Amino acid sequence: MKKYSYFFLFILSLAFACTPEENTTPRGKYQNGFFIRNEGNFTDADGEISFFDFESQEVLNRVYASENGQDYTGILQKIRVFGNTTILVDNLGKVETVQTNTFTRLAANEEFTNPRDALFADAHLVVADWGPYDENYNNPTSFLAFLNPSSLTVTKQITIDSRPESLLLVNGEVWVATSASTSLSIVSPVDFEVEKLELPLAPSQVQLDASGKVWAMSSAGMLWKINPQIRTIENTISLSGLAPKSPNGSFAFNEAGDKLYFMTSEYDEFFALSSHVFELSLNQAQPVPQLIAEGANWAGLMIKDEVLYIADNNNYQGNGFVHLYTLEGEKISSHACGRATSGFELIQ
Amino acid sequence: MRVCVLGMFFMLLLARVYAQQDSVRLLPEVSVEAQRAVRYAAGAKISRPDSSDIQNLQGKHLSEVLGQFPGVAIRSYGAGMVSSISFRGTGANHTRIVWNGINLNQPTLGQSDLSLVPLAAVEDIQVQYGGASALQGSDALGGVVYLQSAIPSFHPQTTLGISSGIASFQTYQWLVKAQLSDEKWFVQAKAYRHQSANTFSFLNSTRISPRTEVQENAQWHNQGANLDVFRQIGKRTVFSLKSWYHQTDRQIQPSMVINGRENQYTTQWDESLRTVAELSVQASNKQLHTASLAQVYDHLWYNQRSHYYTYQWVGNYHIEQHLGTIWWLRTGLSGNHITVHSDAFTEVKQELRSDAYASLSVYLTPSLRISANLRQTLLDGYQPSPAPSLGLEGHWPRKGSWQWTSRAQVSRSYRLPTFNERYWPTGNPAIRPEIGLNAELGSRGAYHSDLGQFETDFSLYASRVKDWVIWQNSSLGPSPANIQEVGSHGFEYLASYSHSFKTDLQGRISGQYAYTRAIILSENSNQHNQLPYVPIHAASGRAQIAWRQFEGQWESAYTGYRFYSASNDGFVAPFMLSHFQLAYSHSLGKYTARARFRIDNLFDVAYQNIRYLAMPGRSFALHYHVFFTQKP
Repeated sequence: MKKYSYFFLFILSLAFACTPEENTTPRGKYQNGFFIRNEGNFTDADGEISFFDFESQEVLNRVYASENGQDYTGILQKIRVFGNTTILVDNLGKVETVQTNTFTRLAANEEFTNPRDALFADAHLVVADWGPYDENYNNPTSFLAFLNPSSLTVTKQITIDSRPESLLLVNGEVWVATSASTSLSIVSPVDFEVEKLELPLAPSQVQLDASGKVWAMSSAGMLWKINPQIRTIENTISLSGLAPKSPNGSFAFNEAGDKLYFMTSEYDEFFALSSHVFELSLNQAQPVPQLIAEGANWAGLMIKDEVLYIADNNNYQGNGFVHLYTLEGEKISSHACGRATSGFELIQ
Repeated sequence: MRVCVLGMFFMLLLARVYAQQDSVRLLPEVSVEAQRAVRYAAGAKISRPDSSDIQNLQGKHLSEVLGQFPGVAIRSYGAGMVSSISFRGTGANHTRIVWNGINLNQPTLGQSDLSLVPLAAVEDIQVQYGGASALQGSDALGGVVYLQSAIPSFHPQTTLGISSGIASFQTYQWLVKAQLSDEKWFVQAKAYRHQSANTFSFLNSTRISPRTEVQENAQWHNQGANLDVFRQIGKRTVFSLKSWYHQTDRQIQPSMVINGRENQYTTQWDESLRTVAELSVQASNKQLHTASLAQVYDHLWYNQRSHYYTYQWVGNYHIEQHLGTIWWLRTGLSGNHITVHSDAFTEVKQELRSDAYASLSVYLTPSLRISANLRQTLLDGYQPSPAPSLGLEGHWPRKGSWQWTSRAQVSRSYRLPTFNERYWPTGNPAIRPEIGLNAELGSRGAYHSDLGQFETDFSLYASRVKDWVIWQNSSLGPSPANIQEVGSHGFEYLASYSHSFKTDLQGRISGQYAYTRAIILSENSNQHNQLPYVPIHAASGRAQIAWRQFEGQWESAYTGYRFYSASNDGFVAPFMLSHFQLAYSHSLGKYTARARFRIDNLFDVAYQNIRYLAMPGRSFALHYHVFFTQKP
């Protein structure tokens, strides 16, 4: 009997060992919802994380402080969720990993200069850093750092075009939008070789659509649809007709993948600040932007289950908000968040 | 505008009517601007520090003295770093800093950095609370600080002095001063230098594992010189020339979050030269004419990149008349031409601001005085409405050993848009002047008897600032807009008791408290919240004792919690700092020497004025002064 018991335990251990990692993710407090990025005010370094629960439709604020017993203390530039590990990028020089479902700290590296984005690629945690400013407020020594994903120690560093702003993992390669150069850099995390895809304007954000195409946006008012296999631009959409409305770089796709939503900012003749969300139908080669919603101090957007989520930074004056709209532009609700609410990261 | 012109005309008419009456009162004396201005500020709360305060804080900056006044909040961005002042819950650009009659506030920023005013450069300080644009012009929504570089006296005397000090964190200071005077001349010259490596230790609580660190990239030095010349010409005329050069070079102390980070600090170079020539003539027994011309040069060089060069010419003329037995009237005109060269603006910016003003002070009875003031500024495109003020001040009949004085004042003030608000980076051409409304009541009592002297002062106020400018931030860059309204109310109370135990032993204790509510009234999510960085509660106490040539002083000051965000859900922790000082003075013939030992932050309290900007712990300072005085 004892022999069978050992055999049973051996089989059981094999079963657990072979279970795909995503199925081992324990369910926890932060599971069915999304994280809200409260960037924080520069002088107060009071960035924080909020959590929107889909089930209760409520926002839980100060997630980091309540789970880790100390303030986050930083300018929260980006949140990235990868399974049960979430990366927090602090523009003041800190990259930190936390366990997604509990939001407790796993590791941290406080020695960066000006980090902007991060993701996991191959066996690395990759960090995009603008590097220091020179005497002309430029960043000529921007870099990508490759870190041990557990200890967050830097194992490799390569130079990159100026101001790497947004990272995207496409077919195992890291696509980098560099907002001070007119190209996308494509980096292999294996041999660290860099290839470039030239663009007419500097890109500030890159995203993947449902069909596996890469979309890049320039804050100067241009969108590109790129085939990542052959690395060519399939379509260019100019948004310059919206001037003086200017895209702020934030865009998202609906779940069907046939519409793209983007955000603009504008000062009117009395210098009152206004924000707008437009919809582009991707079934057309040159779609005309359709106005969906209008407000002020909007900084980021996300779409989930036919709901448009808008981050409102409240002009950095006190706490920001998340506003919920239908995709037709009807307001559903608003919820108070932390300081300078700027974006979202879905837990999936 | 029409109302203003009518008002001015009415004032001038009064002047002509009452100028025909004979006067038995003393003539307007040739005096400093601060004294002249406060003559028309009946009803306003006006305070000045003890001369011992200025002496005891030599080697520090103006903010150290002003921070001791109840209701005055200093926002200091580190030791020796940028410091701004706000009165009674108003903003950093709602205080006018007046040096020898000249507004020190930068036309580009609309405020003054108090760390650029070392106490070595001033001889007298007065503080006027409440709206005072009617008397002084733009920026005076919360209050006015009057600085004088010299107090002239026309008596034969020669004084030479040297002062030097050494303090913790590699801090050094020296001052050389000379005064020569006779019946016709008064000449004062000063030169000073002050520097600090600012390498104090602090607990860096922003680290994931908090640790003790040394503050880096926060060193500074400043140096300067003053020259003040007064010439009495005949019995009725005084000419004066006052000049002040100052220069500060510093690293801007970084936040604790990035302390020690290579290439993560900024620098700031400030240089200024201010010169004022003034002629005061008593034309008759009833009239004093004063004309002045000033030239002001400021250069701000930020992070070795952005330059701001500001050149100003300021002309002022006024007549002060003593009419009949009870009326004092001052009417005047002033012009301020400003030129700004900066790589932050697309072109050289120039403008001319003109002011017309009138002030009236009337003794309704020997113990009841009323003041009325009116000012109109003319500035193309940004002209504010007229600024009036009305004040009343009366002495109650003496009751036993008690003497009470009560006061009341209402005023309307304004702040003209700064150059940055209009032009940087593109500015807002639609920006409007900020408007302040202020009302206050107060009473001061003094008790003198053999038991000692007891003094007390209580002030109650309410104010409102409309069209408060807030900088909007977006992906398009910053832009200012008149989008905030703030209402403030509160009170200040202070009391002191002093007693001479023997001829060579005196003691004094004092205490004060300020309650300040500055409430956001704008209809937004922060409505009804307290304005950030305005402490609701602030209190301090002091004990002094003097025995023969020794003086000892202990003071403790409490600053309550301050919200760092308009949403009021986070605050910078309250703190209480204590300081101790011991001084010894010795006179030998024409020589006077004084040595002073001071411990700041005696209990080594870790505190922050601004969130995550470290402040020094316990520090020690030793100063000595040697003065040579010769009288005929």
